[in-house]
Amino acid sequence: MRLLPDGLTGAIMAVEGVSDAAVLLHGPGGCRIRHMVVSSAVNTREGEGTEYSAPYFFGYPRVPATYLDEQDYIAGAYGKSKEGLETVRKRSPALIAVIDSPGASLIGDDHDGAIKEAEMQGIALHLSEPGASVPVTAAFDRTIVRIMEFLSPKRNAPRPETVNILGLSLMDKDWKAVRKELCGYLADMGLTVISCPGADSSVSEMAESVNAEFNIVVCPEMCAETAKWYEDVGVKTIRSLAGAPVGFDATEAWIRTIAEATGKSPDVPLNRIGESRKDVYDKFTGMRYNALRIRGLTFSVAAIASVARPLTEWLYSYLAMAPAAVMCDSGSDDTEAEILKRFLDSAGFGNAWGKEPVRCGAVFCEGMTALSMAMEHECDIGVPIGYSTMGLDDVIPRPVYGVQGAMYVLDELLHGVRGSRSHLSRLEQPPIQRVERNAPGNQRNQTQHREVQEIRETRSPDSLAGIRQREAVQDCLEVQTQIAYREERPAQEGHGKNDETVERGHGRVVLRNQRRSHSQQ
Amino acid sequence: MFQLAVYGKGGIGKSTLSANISVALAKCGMKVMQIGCDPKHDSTRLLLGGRTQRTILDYVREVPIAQRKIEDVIETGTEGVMCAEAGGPEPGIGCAGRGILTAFDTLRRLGADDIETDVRIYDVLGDVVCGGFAVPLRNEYADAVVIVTSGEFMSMYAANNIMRGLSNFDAGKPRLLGIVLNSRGVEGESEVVNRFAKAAGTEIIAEIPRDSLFADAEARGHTVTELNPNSIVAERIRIVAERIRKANAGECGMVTPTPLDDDQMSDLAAGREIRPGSGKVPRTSCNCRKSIAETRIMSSCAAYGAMAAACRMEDAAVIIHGPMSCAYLMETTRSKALIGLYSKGVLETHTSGTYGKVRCTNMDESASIFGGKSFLEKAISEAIDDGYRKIAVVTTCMPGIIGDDCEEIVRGFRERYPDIVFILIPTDGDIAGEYSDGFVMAAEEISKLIDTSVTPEPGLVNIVATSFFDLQTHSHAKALDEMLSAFGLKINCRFLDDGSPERVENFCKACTDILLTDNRNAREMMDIVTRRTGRRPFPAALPVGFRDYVTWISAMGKFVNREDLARAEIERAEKEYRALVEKHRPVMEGRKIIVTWKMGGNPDWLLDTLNDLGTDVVRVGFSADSRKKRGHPDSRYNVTEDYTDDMLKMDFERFKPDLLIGDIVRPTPPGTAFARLSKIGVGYRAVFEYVEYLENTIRLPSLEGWRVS
Repeated sequence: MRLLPDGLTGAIMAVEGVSDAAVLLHGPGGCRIRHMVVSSAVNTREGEGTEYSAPYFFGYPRVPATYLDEQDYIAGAYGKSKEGLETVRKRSPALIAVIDSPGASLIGDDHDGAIKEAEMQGIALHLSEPGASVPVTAAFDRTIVRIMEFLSPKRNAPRPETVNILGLSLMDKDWKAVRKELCGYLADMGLTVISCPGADSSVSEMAESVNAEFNIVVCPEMCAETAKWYEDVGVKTIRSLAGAPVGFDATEAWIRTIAEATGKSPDVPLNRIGESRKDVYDKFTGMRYNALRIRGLTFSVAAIASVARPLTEWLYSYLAMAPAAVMCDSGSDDTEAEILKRFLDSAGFGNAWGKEPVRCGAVFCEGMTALSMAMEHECDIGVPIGYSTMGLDDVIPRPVYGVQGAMYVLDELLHGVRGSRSHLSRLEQPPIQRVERNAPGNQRNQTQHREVQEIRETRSPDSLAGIRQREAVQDCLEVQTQIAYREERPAQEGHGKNDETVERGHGRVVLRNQRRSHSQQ
Repeated sequence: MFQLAVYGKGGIGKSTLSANISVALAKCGMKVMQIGCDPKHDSTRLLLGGRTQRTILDYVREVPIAQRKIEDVIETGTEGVMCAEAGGPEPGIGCAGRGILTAFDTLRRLGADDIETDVRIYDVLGDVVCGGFAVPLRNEYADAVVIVTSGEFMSMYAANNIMRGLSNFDAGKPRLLGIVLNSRGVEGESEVVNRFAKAAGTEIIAEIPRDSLFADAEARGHTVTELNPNSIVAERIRIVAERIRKANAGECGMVTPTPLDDDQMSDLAAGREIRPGSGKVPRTSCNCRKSIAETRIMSSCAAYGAMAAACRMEDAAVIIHGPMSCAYLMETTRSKALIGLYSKGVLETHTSGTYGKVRCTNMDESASIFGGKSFLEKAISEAIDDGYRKIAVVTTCMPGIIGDDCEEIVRGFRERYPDIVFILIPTDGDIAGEYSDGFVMAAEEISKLIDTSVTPEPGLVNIVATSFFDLQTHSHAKALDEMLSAFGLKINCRFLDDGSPERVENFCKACTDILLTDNRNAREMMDIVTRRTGRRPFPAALPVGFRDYVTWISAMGKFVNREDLARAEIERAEKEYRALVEKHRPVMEGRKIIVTWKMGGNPDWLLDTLNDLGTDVVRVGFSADSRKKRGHPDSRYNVTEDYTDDMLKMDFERFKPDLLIGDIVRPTPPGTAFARLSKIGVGYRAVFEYVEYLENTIRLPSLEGWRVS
């Protein structure tokens, strides 16, 4: 069982994603600490020094809490709610949201009464929706809507060529780099971003956001309700049928969709992506032995559907990797999930659908599971794509979305197959598993696999003999791969020179998906 | 819309009266909605021809959010009265108060407020037992409150409590419309209720006679008002309805009650004249804290500590009974630390495991209302199916607050699976305290796995501690091995770090048990072991620093009857120590240093060394950790207790120290470097690795370049 954040985290991080808002967490310190640490780490606010020794903050600027304990559960903690609100107000936030922990939601403290008594109705709201085991995406979405309802801005001066970015949050790995990259593409198309609700936009920016011409969706699950709210006030939604911008193909599709809807030219951003594709081609060509070791690698993906789908399609078509397990997390968009399922069926990997990550070459999922599986030799390469790591330890951005995301995935895979990622070097003890255990011709493959392993164990990478052994290994692996996936894989990986082929390959998938999507409608 | 809450003791007839009042109001042409707020969900039965309707909570449990519609939970009854039932759990299970909160939230979200209504009546369970049941009393819901009582004392007692609850939520706006006396035929009933009402500053709106018409109407599934409109009962009901109508129109006043205190209630019960009250309204939530100042600040919860301890058992599944976030927040923190240690090469093998080991029952809103029994049973069954033969259950706040009987659930599994070990650690989130409290609770349970019949073997020792960070590098572990092997000793079990079943079960194979670190938490662990095994621990904890090293080696020499070995080792170590001191003295001598700590433990190894190096330690300051209200430092030195940030700032100005050594990162002024005080390992050589770190810290810039930009 993978352990994922739920509605508590979704609600807290939605408010923390409003740059001048504050959360008052009505709950125990244990519910505070990780949110407090992560929020500060992924989005440090200017002027947050060390002067936070006041009660409720206790030395840390983010997510002040009431530190409920047994006595509070029995007698209620209305007094703390009121005092906490008044303490947080002293920091002059533009908005304060009181959020109950799962335990606190059971005792029913009257926060609305406390807000009223503290005369803070204008800046404070109680988010009363219970978040226990609710999908994190849904809670994030709902919280943004609640904030917009609370602000209730009026659309009085629509601004042409302006957009909001929806469905991006502080929980997304290296969200800041994503925001910068996506805003850059939009600027290249002549579009100005007014607000990214939940990704470091201020209260005033969110209030102004109703005057945008369009909303552009990054991750639909994070903003379905929000987009509808905006549509009700007159802001149109642009959503790519290729899912979230994960991998080159879906990022390009995302840009084309926006260009089509807004009447702008996609040429400049697409050219920039094209340059990145070329860089990858050159790199992979220059070190083709290692690049070829990615081909045929089995992989597991577990994520929200609109991320899992483009990632799976891209790994398959661009790198010729074989899906071993694909799981869409709770709260996934049904349409995205269905498209992904059909894609797997059509590619001959239908048995991978609905499985939690399994023993395989590479695992793409939330950080702790990916790293734990690598550590426990359940996979050779664990690639964190969300939540529990959130880019906390990265100086160089390693997001999942956009071109930077594509580069990150490629980087992890390349280092993984070479065993050159220093912090993971201890992890790559078993050989890379290239063949599903129940694949046709399995017995023969296993024999060859053992031979490969023996060669790899004796290799010395720094010697000429080592290089020869590597080549021998590569040859063996190639044979294996061809045997196992002759009928199942695309003829050529997408990072090949022939970009046209790649485009056609992906375009076929998108078109098919589009048809299905339309027919469903 | 005028909103009325009808309260009263359970079984007093609130639902019957509410339904009659609703019909009476509807007959006056008003649009009425009645919402039953009692888990037994029979409030609207008489409005629906004797049929019970689907409750909101059942609906929430069965229908996904996207498919919910308001018309599915509101039915139309007699005279067009709109009917809804909150519902709730079976008695003794779950949290009915949470159910009320959820039902109200659901109605709001489905748009109940948009339905045109003149009067909404909340028919609420007997007493204000928790925040959930108080919801209808809150200002945003109830414009007026009617209390139903009989002349029986317990009924009036409940009525008095309701008045207390009401006064808790009144913000200067009177809302008590009055009392409805639902007669039970008690002698002098009218008189006693009148006395009660008068003393509480209110009045009886109407006296409903005891009449068989109620039973007849109920048997037919209808109200008396509907079936017998000309009866006295119907007439009295209309009086109540008229009062409500007037209140809605602002034509009659309401009061803020003055609930009776205990002495006054005694007078009422004894039939005496009721003495004057204190004038102060006794608040129901008299124990509610007004400030966080009275709170023990815990930055973690006992459930986390219990989970961390239970995870040490290599072969166990650990089930977190609670919402998904609890497991995620705890396991992410734990795994991150473990992965960090593993990547550094500290952990030889990842014995604690992560993937798939920690599970969660994923309690959701329905579990908080109806109880989490089925959630826990499912998670345990899955762990069994996955082949685990040792299963630990750790409880979080949610099951603790709603009162899930986890002991009973686990007992059931024990009976069905006698060959499986089930360990229940009922931490209930932070109700049992913080991390270390939960860790100790779990250790107590795990210690029961020790087989006390095992015979000790010479040459083996156990190391006991809560945390083995002291041994977090190979060099530290090697230092320990050297110390032990000098006397021909080897480690049998590192309790609780080494959770392999064989080692825990064979714990008693060792000839003695040695404390790793001499601090309060570790001593608690040793107490647990001592209670289980009945044997006395080794008299000295593993040493840190030269003085402790000498003491420990002497003690071990005596223990193994090799005092000659001990003397030789002490002589050798002393020479080495003196040489190390002389090597480092040139850099450290005369340096002004402040040492401060708050996380517990004993820094005497550091203070001894700093003295030997000729430094000038100008302050040793300690501020208590959060675990106890006031902690005291374990030190031989003169320590300033309750050493605050302000005192530190004053010391910066006064002493202008070269170095601040602390276990919490603190800002320092220019010219003062900061060095982190952390666990350094065992023995005396580790101290000099730390001294080298201090020397470097002094020589390096006190402010890193990245701080400037």
